[in-house]
Amino acid sequence: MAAQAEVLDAPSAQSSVPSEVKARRRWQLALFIVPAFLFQFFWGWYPMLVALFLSMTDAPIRGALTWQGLNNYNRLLLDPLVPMAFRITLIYAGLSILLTFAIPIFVSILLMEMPPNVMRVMMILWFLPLSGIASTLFWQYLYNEQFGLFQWIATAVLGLPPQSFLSSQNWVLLWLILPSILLYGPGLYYLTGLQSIPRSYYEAAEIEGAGFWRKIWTISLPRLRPIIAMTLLFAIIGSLQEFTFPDLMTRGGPNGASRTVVMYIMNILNNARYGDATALAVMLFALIMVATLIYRIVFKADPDQ
Amino acid sequence: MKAYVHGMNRRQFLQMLAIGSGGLALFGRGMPALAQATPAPPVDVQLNTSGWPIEMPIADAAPGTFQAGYARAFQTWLDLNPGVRVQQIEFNPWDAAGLRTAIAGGTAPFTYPIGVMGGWNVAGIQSAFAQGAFADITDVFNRYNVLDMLDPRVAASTSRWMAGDRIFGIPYEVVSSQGYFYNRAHLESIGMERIPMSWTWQDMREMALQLTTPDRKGLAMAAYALNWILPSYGIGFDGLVSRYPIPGRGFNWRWDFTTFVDDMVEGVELWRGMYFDDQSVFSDPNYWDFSQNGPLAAAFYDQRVSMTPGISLFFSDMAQRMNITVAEADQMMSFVRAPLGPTGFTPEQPITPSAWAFSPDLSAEQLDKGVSLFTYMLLGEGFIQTMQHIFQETGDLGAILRSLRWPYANRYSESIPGVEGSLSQAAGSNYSAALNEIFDQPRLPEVGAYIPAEVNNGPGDTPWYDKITRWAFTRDPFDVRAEAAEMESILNQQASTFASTLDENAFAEGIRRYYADWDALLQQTAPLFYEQRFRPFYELRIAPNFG
Repeated sequence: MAAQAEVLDAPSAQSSVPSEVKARRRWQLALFIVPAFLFQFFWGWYPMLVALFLSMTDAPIRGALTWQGLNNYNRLLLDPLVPMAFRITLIYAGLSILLTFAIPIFVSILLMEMPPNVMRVMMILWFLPLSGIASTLFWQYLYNEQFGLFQWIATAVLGLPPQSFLSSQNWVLLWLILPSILLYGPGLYYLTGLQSIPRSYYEAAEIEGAGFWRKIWTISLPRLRPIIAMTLLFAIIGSLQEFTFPDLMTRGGPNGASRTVVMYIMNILNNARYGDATALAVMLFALIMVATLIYRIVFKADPDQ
Repeated sequence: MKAYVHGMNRRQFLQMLAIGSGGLALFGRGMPALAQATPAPPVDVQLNTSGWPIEMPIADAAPGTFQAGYARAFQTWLDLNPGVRVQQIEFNPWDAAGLRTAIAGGTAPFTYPIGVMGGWNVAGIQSAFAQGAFADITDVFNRYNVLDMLDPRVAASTSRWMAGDRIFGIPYEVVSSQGYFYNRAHLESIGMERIPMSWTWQDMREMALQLTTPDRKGLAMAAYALNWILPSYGIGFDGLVSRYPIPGRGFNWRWDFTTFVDDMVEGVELWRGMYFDDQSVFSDPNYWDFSQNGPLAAAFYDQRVSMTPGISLFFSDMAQRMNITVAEADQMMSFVRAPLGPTGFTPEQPITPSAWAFSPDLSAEQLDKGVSLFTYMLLGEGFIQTMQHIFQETGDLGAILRSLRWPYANRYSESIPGVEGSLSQAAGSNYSAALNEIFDQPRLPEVGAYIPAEVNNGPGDTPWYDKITRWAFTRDPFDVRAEAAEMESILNQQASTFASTLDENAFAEGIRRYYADWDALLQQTAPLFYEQRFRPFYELRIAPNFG
């Protein structure tokens, strides 16, 4: 296969290919591209364009649309709860990425330093498959302010006064992110990436006198960069669209302190304001797009660049 | 199998005749011949249903079960309506987002619950109708005389299924005022036989404290406890003395949480006193489910609490959850409306029908058959036939009560033709008496019944829930007065960006009638609230604009 590719790539070989073969190849290429293009168009770009259009209408459930221009956007910009939701989303995303994205990198590296048997046990514990609903119910119990385990630890074990967990406006986001640190995170990807780094790299570095941190800094992290690039992008997009866990745990409370933009979109939808909800979704899309573009410009995925 | 215990009445005779002739035709000439024996002309209609309350019957249901009776009644209707095909589709009509999408896309089942599309409040329901989410069924409703099939008290509660003179839904279940189920033995332990409907939140606090023991809390309550307490002061997102109408083409409502902010402080302190000081309440910021399946009811079943919030519909389900009969449940517990505010006001409507709407995409024929099927199975002959089957096979009124949540929206809550005995007696004399006492209270005016349906729903109740859930549980320092003013500012800021679709004169005329009715009612039922809260608020906020 490799030899064939070299022949096809060579200019002399290209020029010798008959025109009917070239045409057939173009058809083949098109046939491969068209399904993906159609899928992307109908499930990606077309809904996006429709949403952009609907955000400038009243978007009733049924019946004729009424053009609103930028009225929906103006209304949202005047709504005090909209900047609040964006602020909370950005804080949530920042904390979430900082705590659930970065920590697993170092945990994975530390795991790789452990004896294989210990590492296997630790991996099982870390990646124990748990149902989302079950773990949510479990965390609801842990945070229960009357009978929860954390309250018991705070009062009976540590002798502290009763604590606010999900009812604390200042701390609620941290309590919501904590389960993600412990249960989720992209650790499995990192471990896979680390295992694919040849041992000879580390051995060579050790011969040159490199220590533990030096090996991490010059070998592990650069070699993980493609995986980090991908998971970081997913983490940015995912955390800016966070909905399910805070909705199940707090419904946005207390005082809206855990209400993300997507949760507020749902609130507006439930109030039958479809044009406003679509406009807010478009605003969120713009934020994610900008964040993604900045990320693509700043972060280089290729470790050899 | 039990024999008939009654002589055959005219209705039963006609049913027998219909079934018998259908059976003969089926025997002699096969299924198509059955259609020829039925009175309705053949049609070619398909109805897509998402399941209960109109669902495809189970073919091999055991005799005596609700499913068996339902299957027979369903088949009778199909026989009487040749050419109608009922198709069960995979769809969850209780999922608001899914239902909204299905209605917009024309793929909704033929009938679905109204409340889901309307956010469970009158304004939202009326707005959903104005936006075209429900078919206008006025003509077919009248053609089938549905009004005559309804319990008179249900028929009088129109705001969740009518807008002006247009009808968009059919009541199906009866929901009482919100209130509390209480353990009668626990109550007796503090020297009380029953809780009177005139109890106040202060009474509730004292009782909850007395009922609290080392192993038990007096009360279970959901995270939105303050949304039950503050409205009894007339204060809430749509509170009588915290929201007021304004004239003009802008959005028609504004909020005032500052005039009676002392009441808010008092209500918040009462709750926090129960939760933090008395420690007499079982609650948590993430207890949002107060249904018979939620954590609050579970604590009641285990006798970890003495009182739990609920509505009348939960009663028979709760009995089943506790593995006891409804008669035993009647001995074990009773129900009382939520407490009054300190000036004697209650925002609780005595009776609220839960209604179902019909898809706006149905053709005239589909709508006709859909309404016919719905009313037949739930309000009319099909309902009777189903219940008769259960009784004939089991002889047990309890089996009827367990099969459908009692009381019903139709006229058969007390007795069913062909079924011996009183259903209210079978449901339990204590519980029936408690319910009837609630149902006999005067209806409260609902603004949706006075003004035309508004397309623009205006601000949602998010700021309200933001504040009350924080005030209920947080240990952080906070100032109710400052936060109430902030909430008022947020809602009024949001309201200023909306426009109304209503005719100004129609709105003003409806508003005058609405407040006039409140005026008359409150003078009779809550004179203290009338004098100290309603009149001053009316003079301050409403009279200057509406006279």
